[in-house]
Amino acid sequence: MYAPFDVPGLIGRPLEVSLTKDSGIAGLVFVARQRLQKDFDKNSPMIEEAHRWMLRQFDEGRQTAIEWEEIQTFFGPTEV
Amino acid sequence: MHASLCESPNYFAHQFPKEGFPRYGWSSRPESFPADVWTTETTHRDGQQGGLPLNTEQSLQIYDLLCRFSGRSGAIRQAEFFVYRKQDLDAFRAAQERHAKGAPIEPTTWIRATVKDVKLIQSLGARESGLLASISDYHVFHKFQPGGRSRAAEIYLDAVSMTLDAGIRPRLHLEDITRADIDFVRYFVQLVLERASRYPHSQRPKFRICDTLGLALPDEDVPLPRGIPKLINALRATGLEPTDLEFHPHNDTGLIGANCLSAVRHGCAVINGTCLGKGERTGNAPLELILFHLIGMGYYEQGRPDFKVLNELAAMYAEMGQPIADKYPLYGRDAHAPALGFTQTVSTNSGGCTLRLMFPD
Repeated sequence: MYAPFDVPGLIGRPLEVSLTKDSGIAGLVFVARQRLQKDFDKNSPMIEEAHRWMLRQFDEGRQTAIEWEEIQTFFGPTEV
Repeated sequence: MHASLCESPNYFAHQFPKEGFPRYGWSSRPESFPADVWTTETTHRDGQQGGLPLNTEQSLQIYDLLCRFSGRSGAIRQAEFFVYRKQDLDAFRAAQERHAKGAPIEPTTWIRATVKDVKLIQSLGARESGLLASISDYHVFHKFQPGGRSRAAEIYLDAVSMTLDAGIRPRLHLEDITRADIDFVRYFVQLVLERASRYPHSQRPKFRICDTLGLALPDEDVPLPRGIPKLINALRATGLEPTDLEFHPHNDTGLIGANCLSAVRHGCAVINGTCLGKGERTGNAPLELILFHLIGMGYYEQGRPDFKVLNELAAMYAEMGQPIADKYPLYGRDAHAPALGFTQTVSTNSGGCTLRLMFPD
């Protein structure tokens, strides 16, 4: 993770990960953990399924980063 | 085993402290640096000039945000306002009221160095005003025909005298100085200082070093007029103190940050620019980034500006349809959202938040 200093503490911005074709599965784990405040394993079925869907998107020519809202359904119903 | 193959990691904690911004790592700051360095703001002047038209309410919102950012740190000490439109004049007056009640940023005015313009500010109550005094022959020999340099100096000096008579401190904006003949610059500075010598010290003139087209270079061996070290040294040699000088650069050739740090290093105590770098063409000196590095040099040990406040300024610009670039340092959309270089180790071992610069797998 690139962070030159305590960004949340000093700038007041969260550290985020941009999900692109090169992010890898670790990026997805980070986003899921940050969004859901729950631990996820790299090999968890939800992570694997979401990652497969992401890769398919990029294989089909997508050029923009993937937003959390597009993949949150892989992680079960959202509590409102 | 080679000596560099050590058993434990070296994170250079002195330069990358867990809390706080990255440090230069000096044991002490070199002597050429001024004792104090601060900034002054021009969003309300050069920001607007650069295509950020503001109504009175927006001007004051920005003024208030800048005051909250600077707080008691003394990081931003002045902001300059236009006085030509009612909206700007109203914003200036309201900022004056706020400053009288304790807001940390002193509002000043900005006019052209002409008698006609000085008349506009005589009774506004500003303690200081910027006076646009173009100094390169690219300007002087085209704006003042016939007469050139001598006519320009005469007109500027009339405005300086009138400003001093009104009890206002003149701040001469030496426009396009990075394309100007230093002999004429020196001559003009001396004339201004002589003219002001009969007035109280509180009206001692300041001189703004305007790299109007972003042509300055930061290196010591670059000749005048482009080399900032030689330029600052030449101005200091006329008897000007670090606090008599302000550097006002533009970013046309991408060296704005380096030029600001070079100006400070060689004895200029004040950087003029805008928070988030708004301004004409490629923008003014991004003050938050300059302050970031000044903090790294060891300035503002007693109290820093609150960098969190500028998220609100970035949001305001986005709402106005004038967003900062996605890739803008510190505050851009992507500034803290890497797509690569993310390691499972970090997310697992440090709760997904590391304070150290890590490297990709």
